[in-house]
Amino acid sequence: MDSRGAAIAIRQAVEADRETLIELCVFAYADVHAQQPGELLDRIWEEWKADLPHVIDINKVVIAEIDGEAVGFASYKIDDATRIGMVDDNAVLPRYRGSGVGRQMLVRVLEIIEAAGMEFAEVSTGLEEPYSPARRMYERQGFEPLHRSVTYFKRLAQRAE
Amino acid sequence: MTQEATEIEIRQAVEADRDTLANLIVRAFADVTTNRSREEQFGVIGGRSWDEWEADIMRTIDVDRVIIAEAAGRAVGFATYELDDATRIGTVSDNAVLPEYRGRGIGAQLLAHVLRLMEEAGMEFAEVSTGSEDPYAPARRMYERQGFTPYFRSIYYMKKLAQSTS
Repeated sequence: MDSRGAAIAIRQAVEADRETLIELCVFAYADVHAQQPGELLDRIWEEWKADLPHVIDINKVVIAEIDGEAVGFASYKIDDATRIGMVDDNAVLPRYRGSGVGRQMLVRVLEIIEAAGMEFAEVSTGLEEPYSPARRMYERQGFEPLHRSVTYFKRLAQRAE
Repeated sequence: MTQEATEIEIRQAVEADRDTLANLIVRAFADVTTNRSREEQFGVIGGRSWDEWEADIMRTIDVDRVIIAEAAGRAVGFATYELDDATRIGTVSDNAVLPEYRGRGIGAQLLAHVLRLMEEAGMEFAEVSTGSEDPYAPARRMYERQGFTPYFRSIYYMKKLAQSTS
């Protein structure tokens, strides 16, 4: 399907969208995850996928729709103490990528966090190849690199039950 | 004082340690904190300087999840951690040693202690994040020596928003 030229509508998510969010998480993140195989990542992915739609604050989620179909979501957090708004999990279904859906959601999120009195917006994403479109999108929207980090894992010794 | 002779004792933090911990985190993180580099790049955040944000961590943290390294009764390092009973992943959070006490294995002792506490609490994995830049090279070496494997590299971005009228 070619979504170029199709009208994209961005709307606030509501409680009834949780099932939709589960589907979006599964399909929108699957290919990114598939490029980073590993037992541990599989485990984290399964946990994350199962938990996110349930723990997410639905009031801080926007959904992108094309012809009434949900094709992407973006979540955010606000912090009244630091006045830094955090652009959180966000993704677009693979077949709708490259048509500006992610960018439109990002712009909307930035408008919302600015209206909420935030002074800065912060976001983190991966440094590996699957994340290069996301990095380009943030850079084009005026985000400046702050720091780079590496996350490590270690399997602990199993204690006798 | 010779470096080799430093006797280190690791103990659980208690409520009465909060001021000590606040002081310690500011001094131990001065050269390696993202709060400070963020301030240098973008200006003061939320009307408070980076050291106030650091001290704040220790004023609000669950002290049951903090351990302190002492040399001759003086607090010279600390480590904080979190436990997640659902994923059984323990997270090594903030940890640092005063600059003048570095290079003698205090951080490694703190880390080993935290990992033992996580195992005792039934955690199956330990996770930790640190910077990719030069100041964090000793931390990365320490994690790798203790059996940690890198699995995800990330970049943090920030953007100053247009000032809304206030």
